Amino acid sequence: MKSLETSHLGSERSESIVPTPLATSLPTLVVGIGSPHGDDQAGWEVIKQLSDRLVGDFTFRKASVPHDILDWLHSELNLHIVDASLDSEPGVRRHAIRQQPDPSVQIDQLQPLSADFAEMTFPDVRSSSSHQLDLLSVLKLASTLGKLPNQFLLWTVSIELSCKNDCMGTGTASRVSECARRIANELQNA
Amino acid sequence: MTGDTTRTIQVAALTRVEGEGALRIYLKDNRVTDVQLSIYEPPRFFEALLRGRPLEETPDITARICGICPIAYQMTSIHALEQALGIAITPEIRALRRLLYCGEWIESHGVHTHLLHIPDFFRCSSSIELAKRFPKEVIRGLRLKKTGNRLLELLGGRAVHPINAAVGGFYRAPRKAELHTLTDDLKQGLQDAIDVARWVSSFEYPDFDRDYEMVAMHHPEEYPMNEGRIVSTKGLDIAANEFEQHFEERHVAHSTALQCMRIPANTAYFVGPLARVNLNPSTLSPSAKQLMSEVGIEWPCFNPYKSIVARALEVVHAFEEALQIIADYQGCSPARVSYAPRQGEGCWATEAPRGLIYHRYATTEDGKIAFAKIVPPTSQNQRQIELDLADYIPSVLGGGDSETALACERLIRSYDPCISCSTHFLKLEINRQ
Repeated sequence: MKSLETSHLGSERSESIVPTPLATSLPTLVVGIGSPHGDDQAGWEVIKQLSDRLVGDFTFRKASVPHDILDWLHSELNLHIVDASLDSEPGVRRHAIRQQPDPSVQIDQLQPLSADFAEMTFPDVRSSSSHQLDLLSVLKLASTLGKLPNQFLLWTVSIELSCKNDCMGTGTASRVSECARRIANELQNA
Repeated sequence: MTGDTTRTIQVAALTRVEGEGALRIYLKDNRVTDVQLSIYEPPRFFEALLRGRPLEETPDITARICGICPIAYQMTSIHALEQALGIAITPEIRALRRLLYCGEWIESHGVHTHLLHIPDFFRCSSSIELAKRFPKEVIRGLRLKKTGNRLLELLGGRAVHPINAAVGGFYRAPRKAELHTLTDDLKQGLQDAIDVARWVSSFEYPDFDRDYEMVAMHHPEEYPMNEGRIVSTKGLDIAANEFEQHFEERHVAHSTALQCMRIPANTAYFVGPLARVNLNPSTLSPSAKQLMSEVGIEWPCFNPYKSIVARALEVVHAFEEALQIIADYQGCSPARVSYAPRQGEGCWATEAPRGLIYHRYATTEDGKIAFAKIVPPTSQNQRQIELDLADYIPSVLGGGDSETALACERLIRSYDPCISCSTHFLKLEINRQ
């Protein structure tokens, strides 16, 4: 699993506080991080459902490891990232992230658009991933290299890790559908 | 720092390696008495998992062993099964497999070199810190990785855990025009790779030459990837099917991972890019060969830190060979050679980015896997890493335990170990008596 453990991340309430911040004239990239296994396929499954649902000038990508994203990132993107999360409460969470205009300010000092996201500081977020290139490290690296859009959305789908075999749990499957529906709405209404 | 009490120092995380492990160093009177690289991740039982499954599933299941070098596992299993089934592939399929391997070497070496290893040479704690100082160079490295991934996507269906390689060939062969879409990026990549090789060869390296037995494959006509004999710098020269007569995996009490040793002498050995370059200089591509002579290293080289130069040379080779294969490509039909299942046994060795990899399989009459044995590169390097550390640690003990830990991490990283494909944690314990 390449997910954030998001107990410090914002909650659903953040959506009602801040409208969609992304610029609509930019090309859209939606990346789902995951694997084909169990609940960890949440990110990939969201991408699959979006691909089935939406027709238009959208690019959907599956990433097995977060550093895959570096191949596709550049600063002029309408970017959505979807990842599984281990969360204290089940849910789909939308985190709007904005970089400071000052390019010398790195991602660990991002000013979030959502109120709850302001609670998150970089050291509070534990992550697990190959090569210690976890999602936040990858985003930090992209920011350092000027390859990260000034603002983007991170969607986290809470998972359970208790499902036997390679199937996705029913709770996770439901949240995946919800996440896909909400992203689709944002993209169609942008 | 000294005394008769035991002191334990924990390093929160060994960054930029694959897998979970612990390093225990035992000191008596400031003299190293033992070094144990302890892998405590649970065994993953891939060999047992394969038993009873259809042989066609083997390439995709073994690819799951590693997210960074799945091709190596796929290729080795496919070749071993083709031997068991008596399948002879076409030259076109063979060339496409080499192209696939080129993509994996470019991607894997690109990631390790730029995001994991180079930070060490500038005392940077991460690739992010390195990127602040050398943004153009890191972007260049990411460009290499991206091109390697594109090659893997085109040939393998996707970059990580590709799904297009099959026993007998490929499920789908690329069209000529598809491959040619990569040519411009590969040309740019070749130039980038040459610049990287020149850059890394200018680094300062610790003076740490050792008397290794370096082991790699060797082919008289091509740089070893998918085929060849197994040779060493100490005179070994065997066919791949003799591997188990000369190498043996063993369980050691301090690690859940097996350690592979040379038998009957019970000695450690060294696999990986440095071994390959040392043992195969004449079959490197023209640009890589020319660079080899201009980078200021005396070959054969027995300094593990300089593995990064060998990796850089192999990336140059991989780009140059990929361009040649694509230029020569006229299509591949059939994409896959047909076969009938049968009872049989086959083994094969190939060269993963991190070194020699060996598989052996037995198949049943109805096309199931009856037996599987997989020897990855890192299990072969583990004992040598321990011996290196035992020799190296006395020279870095004076700097304090955190400095010692950092120095150990750097040495371990020069091997590009892939302990497993999950998390990455190494706790250092120094037991002083």
